[in-house]
Amino acid sequence: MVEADFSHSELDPDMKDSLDALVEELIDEVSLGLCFEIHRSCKIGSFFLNGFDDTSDTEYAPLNAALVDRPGVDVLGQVPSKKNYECICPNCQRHLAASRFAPHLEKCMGMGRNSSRIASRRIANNQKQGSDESGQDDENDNDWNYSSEPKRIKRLKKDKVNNSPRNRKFSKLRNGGSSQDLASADTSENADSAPFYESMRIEERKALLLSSCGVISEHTKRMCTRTGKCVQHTDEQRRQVRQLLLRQSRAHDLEDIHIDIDTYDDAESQSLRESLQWEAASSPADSTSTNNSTTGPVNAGTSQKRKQRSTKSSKTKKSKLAKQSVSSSSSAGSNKEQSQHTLFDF
Amino acid sequence: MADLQERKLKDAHMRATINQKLVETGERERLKELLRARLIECGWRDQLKAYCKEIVQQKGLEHITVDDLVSEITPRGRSLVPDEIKKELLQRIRTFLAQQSNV
Repeated sequence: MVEADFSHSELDPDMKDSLDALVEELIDEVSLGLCFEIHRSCKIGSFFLNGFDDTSDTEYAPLNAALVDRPGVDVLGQVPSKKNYECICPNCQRHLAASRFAPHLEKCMGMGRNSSRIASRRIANNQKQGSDESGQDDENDNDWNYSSEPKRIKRLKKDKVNNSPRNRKFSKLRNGGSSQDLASADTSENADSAPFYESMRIEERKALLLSSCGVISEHTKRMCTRTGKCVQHTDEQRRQVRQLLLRQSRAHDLEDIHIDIDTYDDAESQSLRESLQWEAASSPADSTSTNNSTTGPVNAGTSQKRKQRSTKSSKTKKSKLAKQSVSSSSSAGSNKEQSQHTLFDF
Repeated sequence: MADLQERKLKDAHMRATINQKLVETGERERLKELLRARLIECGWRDQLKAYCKEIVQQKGLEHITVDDLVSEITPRGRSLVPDEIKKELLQRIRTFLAQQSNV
């Protein structure tokens, strides 16, 4: 019977109504399922998670519109490029490329490998010069100054090693020879000798004065780096510079020299000393030079003699010992003066 | 009047019979699954969800109940279903009934 109803249902308008009701019922069931789902997500708080707020949408609307999605550019539409980051040196306020910052700090602030020496030297220089030469500071800040100074320090240290009492003879030989050899080469170096001598120790000063003229210029406040026979400066100027530079620790140095001689005396035999004395007395050239150094005159002849003596500074301890012993035997009062001049002789 | 009442009774009887037949054969579940897929395809579900969001924001997330949602969504859901889907569904039911009557 039911089957008979179904067979002619297509013609029946009532049948269509019931079928519509059936479809709506199905739709209601599906929407009810959606309602349950939404209600559940509301209650567990996940309903608004996957969407955007209206507020955030409007707030960042211009930004969203500006975003670019093209190959080759970033999201803001800019072509990616290497940026040159600049750093400001905290010490000198200069702008530097980031890649140059560490080397600059090494020089500027005194950080890095051998910078502690440079820094202490620089501080010493600034303290001594800051009072009278404020303009000199800028020159000291320049980078090329540091490149020239450590080289010089190294050289001086080499000299210092050779300057010990045992090696003094050798170093004098070497200096006497090299001063002649370097006579032309040293003149080129004249310009870049900074006024660092003030922070040098007495041994270093001696070593420097041994190898160079050393007269301090009035204008540049720098030392002449030519040899001891430099024609620009007179012997008198050289003598003054040596007096000035060696004044502070003279008394101490005198003691050193006496000790030096005494040890030498101990080492050598008394007979040798007597024979040297005799030799010194018999040699007229040495005796005249001794006289010259004791009187210390300023005429042209003396300078000639001094030059001669500086070339002969390669003479061994023998002759000097002879001079020393002669002067010491002559009078105790002139002893001090004598040793002073031997100091200048080196 | 008696004619009308008799017809209604007959309608209800007919609907119950069809429904029973659909459930027994499992065709009802298949129809429901087909309808859900079609509604998702045509965007009905997303439309209703957006409408739900408005309702939830109006009433407040804490105060929303299932009854509120059902009373709001059911009429809108019915009206939003496209006619093609309704026709397809009706066609499926008719072919099913025709198969059943032929057996």
